[in-house]
Amino acid sequence: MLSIRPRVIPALLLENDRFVKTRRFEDPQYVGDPVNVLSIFNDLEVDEMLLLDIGAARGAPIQLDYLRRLTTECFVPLAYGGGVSSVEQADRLVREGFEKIVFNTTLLNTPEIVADAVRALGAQAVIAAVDVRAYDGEYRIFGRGGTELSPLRLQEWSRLATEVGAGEIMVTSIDREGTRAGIDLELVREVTRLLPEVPVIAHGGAGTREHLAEPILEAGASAVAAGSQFVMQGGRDSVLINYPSGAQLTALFQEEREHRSVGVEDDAHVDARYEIPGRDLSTTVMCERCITTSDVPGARLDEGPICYYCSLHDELDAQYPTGASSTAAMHAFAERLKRSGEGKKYDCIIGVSGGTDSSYLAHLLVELGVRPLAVHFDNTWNSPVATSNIYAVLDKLGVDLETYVVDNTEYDDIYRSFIEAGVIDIDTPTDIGFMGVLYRAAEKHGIKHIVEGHSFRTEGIAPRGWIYMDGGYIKSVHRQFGTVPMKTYPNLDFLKFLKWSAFSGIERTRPLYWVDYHKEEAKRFLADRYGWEWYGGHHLENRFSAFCHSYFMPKRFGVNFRQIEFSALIRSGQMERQVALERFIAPRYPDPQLIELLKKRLGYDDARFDALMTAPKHTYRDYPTYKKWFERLRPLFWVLMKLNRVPKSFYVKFCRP
Amino acid sequence: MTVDITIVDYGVGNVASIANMIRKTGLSSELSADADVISAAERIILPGVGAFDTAASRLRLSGLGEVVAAKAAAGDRVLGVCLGMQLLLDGSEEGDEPGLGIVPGTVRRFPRTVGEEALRVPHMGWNTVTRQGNADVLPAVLDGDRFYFVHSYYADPSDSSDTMAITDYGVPFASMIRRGNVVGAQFHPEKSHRMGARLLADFGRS
Repeated sequence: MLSIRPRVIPALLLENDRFVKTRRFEDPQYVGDPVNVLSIFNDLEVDEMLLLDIGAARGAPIQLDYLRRLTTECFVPLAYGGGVSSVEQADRLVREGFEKIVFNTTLLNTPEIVADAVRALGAQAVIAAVDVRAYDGEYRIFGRGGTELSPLRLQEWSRLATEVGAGEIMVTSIDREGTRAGIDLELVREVTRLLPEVPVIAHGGAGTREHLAEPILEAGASAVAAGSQFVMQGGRDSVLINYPSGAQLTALFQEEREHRSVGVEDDAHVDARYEIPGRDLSTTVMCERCITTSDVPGARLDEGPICYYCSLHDELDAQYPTGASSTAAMHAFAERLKRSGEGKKYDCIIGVSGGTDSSYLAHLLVELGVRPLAVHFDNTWNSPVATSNIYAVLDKLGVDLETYVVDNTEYDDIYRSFIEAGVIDIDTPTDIGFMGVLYRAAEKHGIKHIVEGHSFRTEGIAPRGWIYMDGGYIKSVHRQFGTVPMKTYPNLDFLKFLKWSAFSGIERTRPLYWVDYHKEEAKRFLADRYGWEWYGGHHLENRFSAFCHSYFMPKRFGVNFRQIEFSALIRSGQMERQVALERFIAPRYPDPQLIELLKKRLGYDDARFDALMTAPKHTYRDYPTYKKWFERLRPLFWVLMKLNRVPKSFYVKFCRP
Repeated sequence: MTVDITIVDYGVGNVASIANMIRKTGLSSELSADADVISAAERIILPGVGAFDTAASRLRLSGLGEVVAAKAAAGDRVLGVCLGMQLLLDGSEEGDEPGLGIVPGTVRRFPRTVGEEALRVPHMGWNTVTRQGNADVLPAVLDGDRFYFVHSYYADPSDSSDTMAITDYGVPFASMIRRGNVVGAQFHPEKSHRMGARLLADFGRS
């Protein structure tokens, strides 16, 4: 009858400064950093969000200061629930940026306070919420976060909600919460029947997209809220932020919805504060084939007109020629994977980031009949496009996902340590953490192969002077500058790395080397086939990486990684040199909101941030690393390279002095 | 530096969200309860959520209602948001207090039923607008744009040419009104994603 579209609401559970997911109100499982998760949902243009503080609901104080950091991230309607027991508290929360306040226990104990809140804030700002569980064969109401049985029955509670004048009702089934078994439609029907005049939100148990539609189409609800579904993916319950696409909502409710464009679009924002001036080429020599300049470490342009990286490319290109022989090599590799996976659930591990390379590789492997286990290292700085892409591709391919979500407080401390260390390679904790998680997953599941989405044809090889990484580097920088103990970060300690690479027989392979991998075609293909979305630039699928590549490295160190990427694309005939050159020398405008987000998240005010951006510079050589060990054990790593246990680029970069 | 938008702070409404969204659009804003500051402001937003009488009496007692009315009469740019829009009219079925009387008309409650069916009130959620002429003001707002609504009462201007956009919730109602340089929006642009940002940017640069 009505033109209004039913609302689909992520319900997020806050416990201190972490988002968690529960099952039947118990066993909180950590799902990520609230600032980033809210920011992702905001960019996904969700209808509304519901924040429930499960600690406050059971008596802990309301975390007003922390909540303020969250509301500034939201440009969608936001509701708060948990421990609100006075009109003053409700008023404060509204003034901090919450549109609606959820009353649950207070309505059961002191309904006059809720009636006062309606008078002071308006009915539209008050949600009367009720948590229900089947008890002795009937629906019974539980207060205080599901812990206290109330003498009220649903009918009496409905009268109470009407009497206080709440503008909206939320009904949660404790029995279904977190189970993903579907919403209790009988319960929702009962509530919408008792309360025909106000909007009702159905919550608890919506595990699939179809479950979202049922309470609305079949039980008279006006909106549906869900937790697990929007923060988890697949049968393994791995953490992955997601929200239905426009097409899915259209199909669910048979309604038009505008296509949304999301993502960190590189250079779409012209903001003079953060301008990075164009590159001046007058003082440097450029390779005649690509756009590598003489100031790029290891370019060796004093030795000839063509840079070292071009010759390295030619060497790899000769070693991995495309055509019939490489197709055969790819098939042979797929057969090897399948044989090694016989009798097991998975044939190999694939690291996924939501980017082009790993998405395309996952597709290729499944096409070849390989059963990969996708592994994702969530550093809690994901962009919405990253999580949507992982969801879209893996869901259609039927590939299982295992996510490792790093502790946000601990990880931000590691990031701060690197920024304060004055080095350029501030994002190496993610590369190392990702590798650490892949090895751990391989060990846990007894899988002997890790496949990597790297392609020298599209990514090139990062110069060692720009990026150095190893587990010892992370330990020493963190030991010197960090303040939070490193307890859960999946570091790659030297002995563990040696164990996994030398003794566990885990091979690492880069199958895209065998493929005539064309980046633009791969992007188009993924978009058509999987509804995958381009996020505006290499490395931009993660917010910290985007900050690092679009602002930090160019601004502070004059290093532009596009030079490496564009050079690779020129060598493999995927980009015109002239086009690359024009883009390389143009000024850049990173997304100012990204920089603001970073400052807020890491707790830097403008003065501190500016000081850090202009502090004296250092390199990895100023800190203890494993580099000497890699050099001493060079013969061993040469053998390991020949056995595919470490990539050639590792040997070239880390084992040579 | 002059501030692009001054938000009238009379103790009612979610002013932090409006300021937050204005900052996102790259414009500047200030909150003010000072009659002189508001009088001198380039553009003002009159916010508001909650009950009509509470807001109307606070506006009257603080003296800021007169300031807003004087600015509107002088042809300055004014944007009323949600209850702030309803306050621009003569009065409301919700209460007894008079409104500012800048736009002739009254504020009515949604009907309890439409045909045989109960109409769930508040009207809460995302709904679209259809423009009714007035093409010269806030051109960034287009037919079919979706905004976030949450309200039980709606503006009913007595002069139909003051209706700038309509929305359908059981009944068609004026979701935006306009008289001279005074504009009102029943929905919440500060909570309406990109479309809300576009509207506020359009207002702030008008």
